[in-house]
Amino acid sequence: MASCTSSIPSGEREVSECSSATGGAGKELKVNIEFMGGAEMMFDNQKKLNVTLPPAECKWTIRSLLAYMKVHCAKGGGLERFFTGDSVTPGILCVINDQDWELLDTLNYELEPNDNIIFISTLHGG
Amino acid sequence: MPVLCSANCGSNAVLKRPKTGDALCKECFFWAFETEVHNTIISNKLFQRNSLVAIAASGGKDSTVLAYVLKLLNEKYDYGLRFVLLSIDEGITGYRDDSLETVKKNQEDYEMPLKILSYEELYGWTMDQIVAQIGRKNNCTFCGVFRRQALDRGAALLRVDCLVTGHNADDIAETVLMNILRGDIARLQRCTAITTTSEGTIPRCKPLKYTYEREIVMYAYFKKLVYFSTECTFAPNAYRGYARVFLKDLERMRPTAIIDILHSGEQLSVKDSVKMPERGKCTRCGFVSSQEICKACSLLEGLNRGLPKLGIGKKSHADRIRKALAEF
Ligand SMILES: [Zn+2]
Ligand SMILES: [Zn+2]
Repeated sequence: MASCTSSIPSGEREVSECSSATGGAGKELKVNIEFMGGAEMMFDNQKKLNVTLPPAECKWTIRSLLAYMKVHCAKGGGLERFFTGDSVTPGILCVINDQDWELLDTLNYELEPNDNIIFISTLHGG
Repeated sequence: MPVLCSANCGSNAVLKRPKTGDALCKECFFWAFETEVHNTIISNKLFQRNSLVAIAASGGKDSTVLAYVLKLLNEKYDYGLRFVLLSIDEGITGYRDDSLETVKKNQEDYEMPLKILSYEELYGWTMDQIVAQIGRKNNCTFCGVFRRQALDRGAALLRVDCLVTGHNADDIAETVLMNILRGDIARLQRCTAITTTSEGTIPRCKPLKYTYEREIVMYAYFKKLVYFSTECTFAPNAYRGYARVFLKDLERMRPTAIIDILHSGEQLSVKDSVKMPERGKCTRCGFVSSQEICKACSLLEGLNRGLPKLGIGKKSHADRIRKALAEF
């Protein structure tokens, strides 16, 4: 089980886009990430990641988590097939605490401590 | 903030359906998913009572969900069917040998007998050997043609009444796009058919034809079904890859795009003036073919003669090579 704990370099702080700091800011945030359905192949076959997100000026969202992952967790080839723009590539599903992210405002979902975030690829065959 | 299930069952929703936009809880989603497949089976009269049905099983998500749902529906609605799993071993080290382990697990979980048929026993060549011979340029052509015929042969060997494949709505929409891009009118007409029958072969059908890939993956996830996902170790089909990416982009913008393309494909009709190839039998192996020598036999001849290009190009080109060889 790997983890990425290093803090986000200030130059790449896409997180600081939001204006006002809200609750939960100023503390570390731990979340669990899992890859399924072949998405793990885009992360060097790591199936699980425990990520400790550094204190931020505002709440972490899936959007800023993806920006963080791109810098800190990305390993191996094929990553351009996981990330597209500020989101995941169409065909990769996201399930947050056993709920489809489509029900949770997708990229704008605000992370809570110990959230379980699963990325499932539909793009891989059998 | 939990979202309530659109079916008013009182439970919290777990997903949003792409087809309808409904937010459903786990149980209502399972019910909707299974009922749609059941309705597809009934309204298209896919099966007859007491039939033996072969499920083309790769160990991947589609065939795993298909086997699971067919077993469930057969028991729930008493279709009176018996099933057998049919797997094709292309002979690709590190790809098929792993996924076949998953199929063996399906065999135990779903209590269905399993038949594995290999390219090696059917054609005398594994895909590894073919790639060693021809390189990585046209290997997908060989693999696709051989797999299609291998399933037909397996179905005949098992004496089944029909063969079901795990093709889903996304796969079919993708094929519609591919056939338009290639200008292949004959295939465009055939590719949306839920059942394909041709003389001399066992009928094939696609019970998941109207099922979104996204829902298949969600179903497998919430049911905790174990499947194998991988990529072929050889170069993927780039052209199909683009069609796939294009389709998924469309789906993100408008979730019904997939079913819309599928419907467009179904509605297209070809004018009488368009010449359709006649369907006959291969003079060598006896399988259905629009040519005198079927694609599989043609490719095989090329391999065995050390002229792998024989079966790949145009028929006229192959005829010229054959003629030259005969004169030689
Ligand atoms: Zn419900
Ligand atoms: Zn033939």
